[in-house]
Amino acid sequence: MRVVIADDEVLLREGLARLLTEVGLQVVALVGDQPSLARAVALDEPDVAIVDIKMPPTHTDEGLVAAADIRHQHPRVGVLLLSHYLDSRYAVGLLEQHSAGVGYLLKERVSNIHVLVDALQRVADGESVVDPTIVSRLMTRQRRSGRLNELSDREREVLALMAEGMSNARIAESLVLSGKTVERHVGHIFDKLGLAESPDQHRRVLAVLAWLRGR
Amino acid sequence: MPAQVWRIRLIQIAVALVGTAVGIESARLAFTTSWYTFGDTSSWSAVLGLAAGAALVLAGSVELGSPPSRTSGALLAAAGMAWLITAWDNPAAPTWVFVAGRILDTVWPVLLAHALLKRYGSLGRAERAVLLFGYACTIGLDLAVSLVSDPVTSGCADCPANPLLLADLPGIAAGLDRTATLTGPIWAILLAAALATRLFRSTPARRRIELPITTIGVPLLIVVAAGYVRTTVRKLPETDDAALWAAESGLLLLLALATRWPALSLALTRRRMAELVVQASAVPPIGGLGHVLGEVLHDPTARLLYERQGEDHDHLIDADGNPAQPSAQLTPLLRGADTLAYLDHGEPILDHEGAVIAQVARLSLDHERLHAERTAQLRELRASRVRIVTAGDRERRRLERDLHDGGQQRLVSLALGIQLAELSPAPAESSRHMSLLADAATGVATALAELRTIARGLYPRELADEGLQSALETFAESDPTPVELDCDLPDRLPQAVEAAAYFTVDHLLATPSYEPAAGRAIRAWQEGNQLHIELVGSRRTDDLTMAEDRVGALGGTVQRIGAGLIRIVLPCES
Repeated sequence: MRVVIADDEVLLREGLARLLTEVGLQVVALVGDQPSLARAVALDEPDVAIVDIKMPPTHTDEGLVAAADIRHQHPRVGVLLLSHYLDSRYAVGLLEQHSAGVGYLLKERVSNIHVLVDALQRVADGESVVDPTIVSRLMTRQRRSGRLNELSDREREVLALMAEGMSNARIAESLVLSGKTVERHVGHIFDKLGLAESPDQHRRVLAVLAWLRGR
Repeated sequence: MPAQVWRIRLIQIAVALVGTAVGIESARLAFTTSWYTFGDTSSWSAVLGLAAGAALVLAGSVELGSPPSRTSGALLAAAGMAWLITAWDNPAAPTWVFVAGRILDTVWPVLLAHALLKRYGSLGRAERAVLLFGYACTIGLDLAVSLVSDPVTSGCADCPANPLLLADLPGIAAGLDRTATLTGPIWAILLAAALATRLFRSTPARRRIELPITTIGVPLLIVVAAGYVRTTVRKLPETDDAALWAAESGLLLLLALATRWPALSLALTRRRMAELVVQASAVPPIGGLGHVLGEVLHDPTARLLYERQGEDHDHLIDADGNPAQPSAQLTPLLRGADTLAYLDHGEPILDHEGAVIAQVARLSLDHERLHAERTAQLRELRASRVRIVTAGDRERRRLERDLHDGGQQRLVSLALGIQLAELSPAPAESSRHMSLLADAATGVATALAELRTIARGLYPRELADEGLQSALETFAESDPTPVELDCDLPDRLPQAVEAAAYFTVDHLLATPSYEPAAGRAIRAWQEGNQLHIELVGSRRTDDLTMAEDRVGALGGTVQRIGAGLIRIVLPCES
């Protein structure tokens, strides 16, 4: 997999590049701002770009703008945004803006190489990725308010993974279940929560997230 | 009564007595002899002339009583006596009276002009020169004539002999007489011009008070000049001479009355001030005193300004404590040496009017001044509170950014390093090595999570980037227990207001994570220029001081409405 890393923190992007190379990914470019990122994406044809949400000049949300640019001009290239903020609004905002192939991970997630590589793989495959910490926080809230009472433990697990953006196949893989079982669980969950099932993977993520964020 | 006042009273009485004596002698000569007095032989001209002289002496002695016009009063009384003395140039008079009459009978217009000029203050060089010229041409020449001319030898058989005679030189005497007659119109017109100039050059307030006196004085001097011309050109009928004298008498009488005008005007002011007292006793609302004064002074632009006590003495404030620039004329209202206030007014007013206002409205002025000062201080205090709070917010934001850009980035790099180490070929004691690295990784992850919480608590990103609505949404979402949020704030509000609102909500509604708190709600909306926030289910039982401090700094309020309901109102102007 060909990866471009955009982060203005040199130490971090170098470290990340070494780590990814170590596990067999091909890091084709390291850049520190949005214009260089746009150039690198155009020239090096990566499968996915890892983009820090804060970049020069204002260090606020340049990464979001860059993601929109990339998705618009190179729809084939996935974008994985890294952020310091544990904020579902940002994640949902990002997912709402794009049809697929985007991910939102907490920056510290890079220290878990398996999660990172998995996320990269999924974004490159055109799926969506939402940081598990964000999902788990939303889940906790809903469990406390009692809205998840009707779901079984297993169903809750499946719901969380759906919110993280996983496809049924991946959920099955992750929970060591058969595809059919997962499908059945998903059907039950949607019934119980009163959600309409959608064949579109991305829409499903958004619907589940919206339900989780709602009161 | 102080000694000085007694002395003044004695001088006034003495002047009046001397004037009376002079007047009695003039009256005796006027009524007991058939000689011309005051231009005619008739008794009505004598009565008019005597009345004019007496009025002048009286007015002069009254003027003597007030310090600024003391010299002018003395001169006025002297002019009155000199006017009466014109009747002494009478062959039937006793020798010394006759002599005095001959020497002093022409000086009165100069004395009068001197008195009127002196009313405007100290004299200029040109004025002094003209006066000196006038005195020389009248009393000076008359004295010289009486040294060298004997009236008896020059055709007045009934006249008493001249005791001052040094040598009888009729030629020189005639020349001196002629000089006096010819120079008469010159000094008279010059003095009239000087007086008119003074009137035009004086301040509007001064002009208002001197106008009646000077407008009588100037024509009077012109009449005097005409009299001299009449003497030179003897072709005019005799009756005109009497008419000129009558005009002089009449104008003098008017002038004596006119000297009372300033006092009359003061009395009028006092009466208007009495109205003010009545109005002020109703205690005008703050800022209303200026209006009342404006009405009394017939000047709608009038307003009161106060000196801001403190380090900066040039600083004037209005009744509401706002810094003010004086727009027109500024008259200090004094009590002793203290300036109570300044009257900023478009129409000119007089010094004594200012003094009367200061006297009459003293309590109201003090009241309004203290209020203005207090308001100004309050405003400064409030501004400083806002500055402190905003500085605190700024510092929070800076720290939040530093944590993200510094600490957090370093920790992430460190986590990466550990990860790399885990992946690199393992040394001999690999299992121990790996477990140490795993521990380190866990530690870093924990540190990162804590750092994120701290940074968020310092200044939530959404508050800075997206505004209060987003921040409250995230607050409601991040809290372990759901918080119901009904928030309608489409527009960004001033940063200080957003920060104050957010941190107050955070302070009042946040609960420790171990204590689930259901039934909490936030309602936020904007109404006109005010941000309203209602909080339901606050667990805080302590007083609201901290919230009040933060919200109060921006002029807002925090109130506990009922059980668990707290209302926050914040003004939104930046």
